[in-house]
Parts: sequence; C-alpha cells; structure tokens
Amino acid sequence: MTQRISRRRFILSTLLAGISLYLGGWWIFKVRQGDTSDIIATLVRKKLDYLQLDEAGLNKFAEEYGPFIQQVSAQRLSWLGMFSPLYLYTDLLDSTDMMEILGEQAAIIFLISSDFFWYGSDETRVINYLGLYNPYVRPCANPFAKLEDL
Amino acid sequence: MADKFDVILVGTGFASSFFLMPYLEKARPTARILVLERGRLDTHAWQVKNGRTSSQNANDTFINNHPKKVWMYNPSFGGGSNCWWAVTPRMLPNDFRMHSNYGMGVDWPISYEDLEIFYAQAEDILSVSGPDDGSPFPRSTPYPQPPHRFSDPDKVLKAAYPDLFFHQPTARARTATANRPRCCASGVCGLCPINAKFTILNEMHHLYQDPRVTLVLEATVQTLETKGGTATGVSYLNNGSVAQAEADLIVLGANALFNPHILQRSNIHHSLLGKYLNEQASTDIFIDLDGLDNFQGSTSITGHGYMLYDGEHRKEVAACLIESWNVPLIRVEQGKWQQRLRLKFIFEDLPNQNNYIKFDKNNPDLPETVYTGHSDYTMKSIERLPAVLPQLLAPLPVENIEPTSSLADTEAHILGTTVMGNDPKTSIIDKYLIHHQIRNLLLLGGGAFPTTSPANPTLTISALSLWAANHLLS
Repeated sequence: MTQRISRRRFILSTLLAGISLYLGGWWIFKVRQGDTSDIIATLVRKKLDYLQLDEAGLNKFAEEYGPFIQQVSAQRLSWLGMFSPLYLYTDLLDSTDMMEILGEQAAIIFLISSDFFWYGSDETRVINYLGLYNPYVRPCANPFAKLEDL
Repeated sequence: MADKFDVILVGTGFASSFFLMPYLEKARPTARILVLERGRLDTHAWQVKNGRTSSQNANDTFINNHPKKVWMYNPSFGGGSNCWWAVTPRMLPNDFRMHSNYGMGVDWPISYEDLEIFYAQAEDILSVSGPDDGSPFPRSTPYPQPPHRFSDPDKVLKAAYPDLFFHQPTARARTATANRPRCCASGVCGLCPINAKFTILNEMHHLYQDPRVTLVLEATVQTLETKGGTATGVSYLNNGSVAQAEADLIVLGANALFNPHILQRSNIHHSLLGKYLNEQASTDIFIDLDGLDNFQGSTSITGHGYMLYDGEHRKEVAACLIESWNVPLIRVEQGKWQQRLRLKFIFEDLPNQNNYIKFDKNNPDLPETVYTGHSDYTMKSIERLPAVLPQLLAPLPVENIEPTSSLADTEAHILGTTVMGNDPKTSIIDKYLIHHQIRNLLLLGGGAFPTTSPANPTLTISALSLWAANHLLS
C-alpha cells in the first residue's frame, strides 16, 4: 500500500533539503578554502562582548589576521569556524587553553589595529578597524607612544 | 701568490668595526686593510622586505650538540648589529673584580677605570640615549642623547629606588642622528621598521668604503697561517675556491663560536681554547597592575633596575639586571587595558670548562657547541626570585603576578671561549686582546670575557676593541 505525501509536506521537505544542501555546500566550500575568519571574528566578538565593534571592520580584521595565526592550523580553524555560531552563545570553547590564548591574542591585535586606544579607550563608542597592526607596513602606529611628545 | 696587506680583519660586527674606526684614523694613506666577512650585505630595505636580518641561516654554520640551548648570531655584514635590541649598559666596576670581591669566577685583567674613557667613546659613536639624573656606574661624561621617556610604572620604581632604577641606556635613537630617525616605540627592535637603532650598516658602513679597505663578502676564514710563532696570513673560502692573503697583523673579530674554531683548525692549541662558552640566563614575569597604566614610554624597554644586581649576595647567588618593558602587551580586561607590566630578569653566569667549542677534524668546517647548562650560582639566583619579588615589587600596585615557566632559550650573547687574562696558562689573550704566544694576532669580541655580568655585552665588546686599537696604535 503506498502512502501519499501531502503537497504541503513535499514543499516543506524540498525546502529543508535545499537549505541543508546550501548550508552544507557553503560549509564545505569554506573549509576547502581554509577560511578561518568566522572563528576569529567569533572569538574576538565573544572576548570583547561588552564593547561595540564595527561588524564589517571586525570581519575584515578576521580575514587579514587569519594568515598570521601560528598556534593552530588553518584547516583546523576552518573546521571550528563551521560551528562558530554555537560558540558565540555557549561556553563550548572556553575550556581549551589553546582557544583561550588564540582569542586573547586576536582580541589584542584587533584592539591595537582599531581606533579604540586613539580615542582614549572610550568603551562607549563604536570601535572601528583601521588596518592590521604591522609596524613594517604602517610604521610608528603605536597608539600609546604619543609621538607628538617624543 | 698571496695578496699582501698591512692588516687582515675578520668580521664586520661591533668588535671589528670598533677596531677599524680608530685604526683608519691613524693608518697611513697607503695602508692596505683586507676585511673578510662570511655573510652577504643584506641592506635594511632587503631585511624589511624579507622579514629577516640575514639571507643566510646561522644554524647551518655550526653544530649545536644540545639544541635546547640556542646560540644566536647574525651571519651578514654588520653582524649582530642587524638584530640587536640596542641595549647598551656598561658593566659595573665590581663586575671586573668578581674573585676579589665575592670569591666567584676570576678577576678581569683590566679594571672599570681602565675602560671608562673607551666606554664613553663607544657611547658617543653609538649616540647612546641614557639617564641624566644619575647612573649606576661612574661616568666621566654625560650621555650623548637625553633619556627616553619613562612609563608610569617606571616612575613609581624610580621614586622607590632612586639610586637603583634608571632609564635604560640604549642606541635606539631618542633624537634623530644624521643617518637615523628617532625611535617611535614600534616594539620590534630585532628589525627596526624605521632604522632608528644603531647598526653598522646605517652608521659605520663608510669605514668599509674607505679606499684603503678591501672588503670581501662571503669569505669564510678557514685557517690562520703562522711561521715561527708569528701569524703570516689566512686561508679563506670565497666563491667556492680557497684563497690566501698575507698581513703583518691579523685581527679576528668573528664571534665566540668562530674565533676559537679558526685557531683550533689551525693547530694552535691551548688547553682552555674554546672553553667557558656561556651567556646570561633570563626569565620574564608579567604583572597585572591595579589602577596603574603602562606603555607611556618612548621606546621598547624603558627602565633598568639594579635592585638585585650588586652586593654581598653575589658571594652566594648571581647578580640580576631587571628590564622594564614598554611594548604594548594589552591586558584584555574591561577598563584595565594598559594595566600590565613585563619585567625581564637577566642573570650573570660563571664560566664552566664543561661548556665549550669542539673541533672535529673529520668535519673541520663546522664548530660544535657542547653545553651542560648554567652554573648552580646562576640557577640559585633564579630559584630565589619568587621569594624576593613581593618585597621588590612592593612599591607597585600589584594585582597578580604571572611568572613564565621557563628560561629564555637564548640571550643572543655568545661569550667566553678565548678568555683574557694575565697568566698565559689560564687565558688565551692578554689584557690588550693580543694572543699570549702569537703577538701579532688579536682576538676581539665577546670571547674575551673571563666572566659574564648581567649587563648586555655589546658596549663592553665595542669599548674593548677601542681599548685594544688604542694600545696597538700608541
């Protein structure tokens, strides 16, 4: 005896399958590309959850900082990045020293690459990314050096 | 047929350059000086572009039998000046009298007073920025440049220890020189992005362009030639073939790995040749401060603490020099971003015959390092650090102290191996850095150090070269 699928169930199933395929394909694409930016952005977002971060700037930072990470392989980071939304709202990663260190370092580099310290560490304003902190690309960019007083 | 020169100088780092400068001032117009440098000339622009200070790998040039102990040097024109952090303290007068004062190590054959004017000359050449409100060592002249700006934690330590805490003397420019801009505290001094620290390339390159000087790069000295107790020349490898050169005076200014190795390879023997290989030991602590911001200083390392350096404790435990760091290591904690301080503790070591440079006739091109560890004297001082920290740091609002768990793997100061002394039985060279037996052979550099103080050795190496040249030329 055959069981007929209702039109409504068919449409829903097709929709769900399509979404699953899209997300699965997107994740696989990201992993194959070695895209580490999701997890880096998530770690910074979580570490600095009491600050207002410019999202576009943060994402750009995550893309630019990724290649410089040495503690964890890019492949592993991209796998972890597949689940980054989970980490943002849970404590799943907090217990690992490696991710704690990675998150702290990413937050430090993000802050010093932003305008945060140039505005006196004002925690009430939106923090804008200026460009990856690299003294060989942007010399004399130490925000604490007070070059006018040197 | 070998080329004939007045002088053959090996190496282009601090030891050689600070000898060459006064030598050229007094040399006759027709003098011929051959300089042999095993490295290439890697310009500052090349270094910045490639993110390293030498196009050659130092680890390919020697065998480290105990790789956990790293020995670092820079094989290129200008040697260690390319990668140093430009820290230029003098040694203290008591560092030269370790045995007399503390019953440890040996006394140097020269005193602080002998070297003082040469320290001052070296500081002038390096345009050192240093304290203007006192000094841990006697000085005949003020520093050529004003001090860098303290951080706020430095100010607290200065107030608490006015006679023991000072601005760090440094060749990171406080004010611009003709060839260098002022330091802007980028905090990556191993390769300064703006060329603000002194290097041989940016301040002394002209010496090697003097018409009396013939500079040969990628020239590795293999042996020293001698006849009847006199040095006559060297053999060196260049472009894949061996060349010879002769001279009336041979000056080896390679580092403490290679100076003894050249002699060993040349069958010039001494029971202590290559022995006493050593350098300082160091460890860091990170302090979370309560309500006190850091990083206001104008350079990477701003303070020098002598609170654990000299005194009666040196009869039991090693002296320690403290560096106060200003590199912005942000504290990721709301409202406490700048409330973090890194202190580096650098300990002297005692020479030990079990640490040495080994020559293997089956593999004569590569010196080997044998290292059994730092002395008990040094380790005791490191182990007592946690006990002395609370009192030492009492003036600071300490919230938490995070010690590092291990010693740094290197200080990048290779010392000992051709030590100086008055007795030819217990030393390789005399107080003027002249070989005890071969009197037209000088051995410059850190190999001459009979003991190792906590102070960074470069200024002393430079002053010793000036001292040796002054004796020779007068």
